[in-house]
Amino acid sequence: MQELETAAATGEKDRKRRTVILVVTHRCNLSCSYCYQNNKSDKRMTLEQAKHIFARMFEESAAFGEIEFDFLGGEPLLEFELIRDLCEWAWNQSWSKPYLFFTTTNGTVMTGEMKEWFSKNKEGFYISLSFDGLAEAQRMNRSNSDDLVDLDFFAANWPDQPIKMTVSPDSLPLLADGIIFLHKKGFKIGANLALGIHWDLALIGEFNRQLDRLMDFYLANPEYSPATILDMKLYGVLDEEAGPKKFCGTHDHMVTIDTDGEAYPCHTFTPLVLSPEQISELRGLDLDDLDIYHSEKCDKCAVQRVCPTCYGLNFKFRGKLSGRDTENYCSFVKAQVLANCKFQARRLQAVATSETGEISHEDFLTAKSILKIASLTNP
Amino acid sequence: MFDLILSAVLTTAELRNLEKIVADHQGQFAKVDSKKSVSTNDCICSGSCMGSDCTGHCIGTCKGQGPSTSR
Repeated sequence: MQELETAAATGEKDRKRRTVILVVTHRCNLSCSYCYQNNKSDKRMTLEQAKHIFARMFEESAAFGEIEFDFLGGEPLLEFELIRDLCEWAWNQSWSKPYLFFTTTNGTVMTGEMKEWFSKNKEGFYISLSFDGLAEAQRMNRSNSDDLVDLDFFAANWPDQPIKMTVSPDSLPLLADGIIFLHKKGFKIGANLALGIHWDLALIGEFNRQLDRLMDFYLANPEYSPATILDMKLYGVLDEEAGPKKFCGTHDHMVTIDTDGEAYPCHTFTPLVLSPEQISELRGLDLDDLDIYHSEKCDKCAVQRVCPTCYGLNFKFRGKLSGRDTENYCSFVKAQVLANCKFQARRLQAVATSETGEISHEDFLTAKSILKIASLTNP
Repeated sequence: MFDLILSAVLTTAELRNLEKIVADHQGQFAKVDSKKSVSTNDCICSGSCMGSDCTGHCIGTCKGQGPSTSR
């Protein structure tokens, strides 16, 4: 089915960027309520190791057109000097293919010196800030750190890079207000419910209320690009190709190198997250075998192809890569899908009846997707 | 368990509107190379990872929103 080969599932032929995640430290200065990195320590990467890995990745990435190097922790900016020295070393010589640097940070240890360096180098170094919306939500989720982050600095320097907003059960009632607040600060937003924690089904009603509020906001203010929580790529459901498919680029386009130089499929499989026993078990798996990512339990679900799952956290919490949380989190995903259908149907209606009436190909596929979900789910 | 039933959130009229959009544009998009129309080409997560608890990098780099290359 060509259409879907297209839009949602995409990629085998067109993917060209390799993402190399460098875990530069196992330390973090915060203790977030939903953090899945339970094995923090003082381990850190040395500059010599980082240089060696950087150079090696060009040799090992022949199948890719470019490389994205992501610095990750813990809190990566605790190793700012390492990051700065590696980048300046790399920029002072020639490499065989284009590359870029990226990091995700909690923003709380950003000093004036760092700001100056990052601003100067923002064309080659991109930063995604993790911040949970309103100050109150940031306080409850992320160690009272709301007043340690200069939001304006990030919004001004990387306006196209969405902020990463994680929603916990505690901060759920502040979801819509948090997203609206961040939009008004100038951010695009990637928002998601925290994975790997317990989501009580009693919170579904609140989740729906928050998504309804957000929906009303976007319909009234179409100039804002919807946060990912209301921008699911529903056209994934049009994929009728049989057989298991992987949801993300782990072990495929992604590789994570830990502080000691060991490679893992992605950061959720590193010793920061998994126990030594789990890592030993992981080493015995054939990660090229798509069946190990596949959950038969979800085979009949109409939205399996668009259901967000994290194989590393499935493995950590339920012992299998395919071990989705089908008890609780699943219900929240379904509620999110319904809200996305409702929002997109109304948005498309507004577009279709507007002066131009211009429906894009993505709009067209979205309309088809909602109709398909309707045909599969309505009693 | 929460049930995935679309009629709980969409009216018959809203579904009819969607059917009309599809019918009106079927011809227009029948031969479109959708890989060019819906850009997920640079996304390492196949364009569908929105909402998972990853590092945030794929959010920024897919759909052409983020950087493409560097020096």
